[in-house]
Amino acid sequence: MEVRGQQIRKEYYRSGTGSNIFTAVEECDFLVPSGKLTVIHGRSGSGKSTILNMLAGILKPTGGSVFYDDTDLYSMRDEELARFRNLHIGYVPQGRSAVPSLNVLENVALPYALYEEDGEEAAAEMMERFGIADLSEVMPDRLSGGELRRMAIARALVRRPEVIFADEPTGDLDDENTVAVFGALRELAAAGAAVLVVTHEEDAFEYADHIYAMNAGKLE
Amino acid sequence: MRIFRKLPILNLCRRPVRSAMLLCIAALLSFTVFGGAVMVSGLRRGMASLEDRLGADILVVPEEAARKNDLESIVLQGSTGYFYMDDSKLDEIAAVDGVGQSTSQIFLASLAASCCSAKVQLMGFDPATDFTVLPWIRKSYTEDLKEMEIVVGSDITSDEGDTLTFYDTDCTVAAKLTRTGTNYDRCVFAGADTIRVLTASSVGKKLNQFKEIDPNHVVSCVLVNVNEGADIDQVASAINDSVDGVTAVRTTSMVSGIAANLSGISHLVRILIAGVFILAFIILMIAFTMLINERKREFAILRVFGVSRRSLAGSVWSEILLICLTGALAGSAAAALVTLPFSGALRSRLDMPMLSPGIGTILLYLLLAVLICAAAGTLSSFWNVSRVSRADISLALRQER
Ligand SMILES: Nc1ncnc2c1ncn2[C@@H]1O[C@H](COP(=O)(O)OP(=O)(O)O)[C@@H](O)[C@H]1O
Ligand SMILES: [Mg+2]
Repeated sequence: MEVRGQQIRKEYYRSGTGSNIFTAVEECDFLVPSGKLTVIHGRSGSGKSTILNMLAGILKPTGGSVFYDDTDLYSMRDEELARFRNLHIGYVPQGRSAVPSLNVLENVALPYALYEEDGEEAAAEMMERFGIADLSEVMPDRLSGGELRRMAIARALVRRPEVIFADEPTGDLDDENTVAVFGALRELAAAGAAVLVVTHEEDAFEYADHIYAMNAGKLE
Repeated sequence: MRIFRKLPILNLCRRPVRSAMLLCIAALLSFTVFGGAVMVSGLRRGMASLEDRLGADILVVPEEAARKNDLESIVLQGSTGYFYMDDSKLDEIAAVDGVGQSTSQIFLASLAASCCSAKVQLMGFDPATDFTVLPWIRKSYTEDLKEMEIVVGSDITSDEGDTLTFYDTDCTVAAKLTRTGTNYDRCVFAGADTIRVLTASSVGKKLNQFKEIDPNHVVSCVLVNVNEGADIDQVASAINDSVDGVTAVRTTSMVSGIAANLSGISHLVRILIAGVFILAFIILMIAFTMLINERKREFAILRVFGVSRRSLAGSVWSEILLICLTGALAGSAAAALVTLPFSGALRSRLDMPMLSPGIGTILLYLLLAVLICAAAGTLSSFWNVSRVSRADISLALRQER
């Protein structure tokens, strides 16, 4: 499944600026092809998260449309879109993203659990993969930043989604973990997934098929 | 893994301190609602049973009794005093214009009897003329009392067929009365013949000294019903004027006094409930607002991974209702523990008749308390729950990572 943003742009209301309108992402077309790892690189505040969220179905663009193959993402009703995200999109949020009242295993199995499906096996497998298998029963507030991040990545990948978004996925990881994360993303791309990573660091470059630069809302 | 459906419970169990605090607020609310409702209803029932029994328009007691005793507590609480007059007063009173039915009663004090820890009060009535005690006894015992048979109040531990001994004289318990919530529950009732025997033996024991009165002709009070159409106040003052050495008081004025008192108390309880409701409402609203702000990011994560607005709202809602309902049950249970076993203590504290409500009424109040808690929870979180479901996922994800 490939993701196409057509003439998408995002404006925020922001009081105090001249017209009270702040353009976070200027109108652009953007393609995340399947089977490839795409990277958007840019400074903090340049609009990377904004464009990623628009493509991931959690932020409606001010103008333009997002297509997943032939499906117009934002024409769906909320229930449909939610289920669509659940089935087809893996998302690694920036920062900490654990559900505090669930243990690590339950957090990783979350995409299954939200629809009352059994994901324990798949979750266990993913945890093995990212070296957090022995943390199953631990609550997230006991984990280190790196462990939390690996948990978030395991959760995003647990359903083997066709499209994966990762917002600064290696921000607080050491080199070893960074390698593991990009290795896994690379592997998913090789298996046919469309992968988009946004980062302000350059460590993603060596794994990328396409690299875009983002500067003050302009994609280059 | 049925995680999503269990999420509200998990959230509560795995955050015990937070849950306990919210629970306490809900419990406080239901404690007030349930406890207040039970108390007011207890007082109402006590009042109703009092009116049932009172049945006399005028109470006539010896003059010196009126000075020494609180007549109100004789009438309303069924407490007996020890004062006596000659039974010829009964005929004098009966002859007064406007007096319809009249009957006499005798109060005797007994030392601790075999049955009871406290002093028992003996009350003699005249089965031939009685219209106040007998109709009430009839509810528990339909036969005529034979000589040396007595009827006991509900607080007296003896049962039918037991023998109680007063002043070395044996009496047989013929029946036990239903609870009234007044001092009558600690009384022993006997017919005129039996009470004469007991009076005589008490004189023999040098208890109950009757001074100048012949023990065979003593009465403690006379109860009067006026004729149809006669004015109770006029008849009472006619008795005061024409019969020497007695004081006649109108009983219904006391009942209306206590009724005013009661409506004052129920009014107070209603204000208290409203106050606590508003307080709980505000506290819950602040608590839920804080709670939900703090968890914005968590909710956004759930949305990202596929929870729709509607199911997220449902989940948050269940969590809040769960808290409120558990709190409501805990609060009501606490209120039940406080009010029901201590209704006796509460009654003497308030100096008003009080009868615990029946199980049906209690369950009704429990339902009421639970509903009010649920309403407080729902109303106070309404805005917050809709805010959660409408929240911008992307914006929420930006917060304090
Ligand atoms: N909801 C919002 N309201 C107003 N301004 C926003 C909002 N979200 C993001 N912005 C602004 O848009 C710009 C781009 O943000 P973001 O996409 O998070 O940048 P990046 O991820 O590259 O650091 C920033 O200047 C940010 O302050
Ligand atoms: Mg960002």
